[in-house]
Amino acid sequence: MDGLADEALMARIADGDRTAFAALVTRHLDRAVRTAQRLLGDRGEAEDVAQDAFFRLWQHADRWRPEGGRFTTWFYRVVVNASIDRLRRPRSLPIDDVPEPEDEQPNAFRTLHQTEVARSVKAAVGELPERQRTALTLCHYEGLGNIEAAEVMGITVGALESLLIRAKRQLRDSLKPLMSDLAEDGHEA
Amino acid sequence: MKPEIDLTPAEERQLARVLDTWQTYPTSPGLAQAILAKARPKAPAFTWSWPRMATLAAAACLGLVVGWWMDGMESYATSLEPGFDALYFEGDPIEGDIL
Repeated sequence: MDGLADEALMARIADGDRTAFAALVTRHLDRAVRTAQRLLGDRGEAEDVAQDAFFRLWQHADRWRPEGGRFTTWFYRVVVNASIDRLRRPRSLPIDDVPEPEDEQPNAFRTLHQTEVARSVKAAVGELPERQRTALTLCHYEGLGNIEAAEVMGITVGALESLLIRAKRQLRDSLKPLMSDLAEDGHEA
Repeated sequence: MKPEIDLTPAEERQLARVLDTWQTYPTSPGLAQAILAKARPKAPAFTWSWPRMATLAAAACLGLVVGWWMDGMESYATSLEPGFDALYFEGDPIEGDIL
């Protein structure tokens, strides 16, 4: 089952094959949770989104048509749209109140510094308008090409590039001190 | 159309490094199991087959026959008036009751 393409698994899932569904969940769960986490800033909510996305996939697999594009593109779209829907709901916890994951570096000061940097990055990304944040998440964090990311978002490649540039410009301005720190630390030639 | 001001390649690299410091949490270990548990086996879709069609046709015929028979009985009972009540109610009706 692991050797089968996503599209073949989807065809089996449409027939109610739970083994195929399990294979697809194993293959794409981390990606779905990670993407939703970048957009929502919260693991609990991200896992809810991923769970809903997979449940919908299970229920409506027969409606999916391979002619409509790659499975991953379609699935990213489902996760992104579900995350944006959730972002628009009233939220109980502000995005930057969520603690960062613990880093197991031996140097306590360095760990603290990195945690602070990560917290600032998370807050700065959280400040971006949702479309810019989505573009950045798909292209920078998920490594999608511009064409696929534009397809996921349902926009033109030009519009995506514009969103990315605006996002990066805003991040450069808000994260300037951190960028300088990294350069001073000798990370940047 | 691209905006006029863009990041320099050095700024792009620095920004990428800074952005990469934000690590996401790993997925909860039990999440996949929870999703699989939620995905219950689907009820088989209704499909037409000869035995199923024959059963449905037999049920429909039986319904028609019963309906026709009840209709006939009612007509027959009406034709027996004024002894109509006797067919339906056993015993003597109490005088004054509205039946």
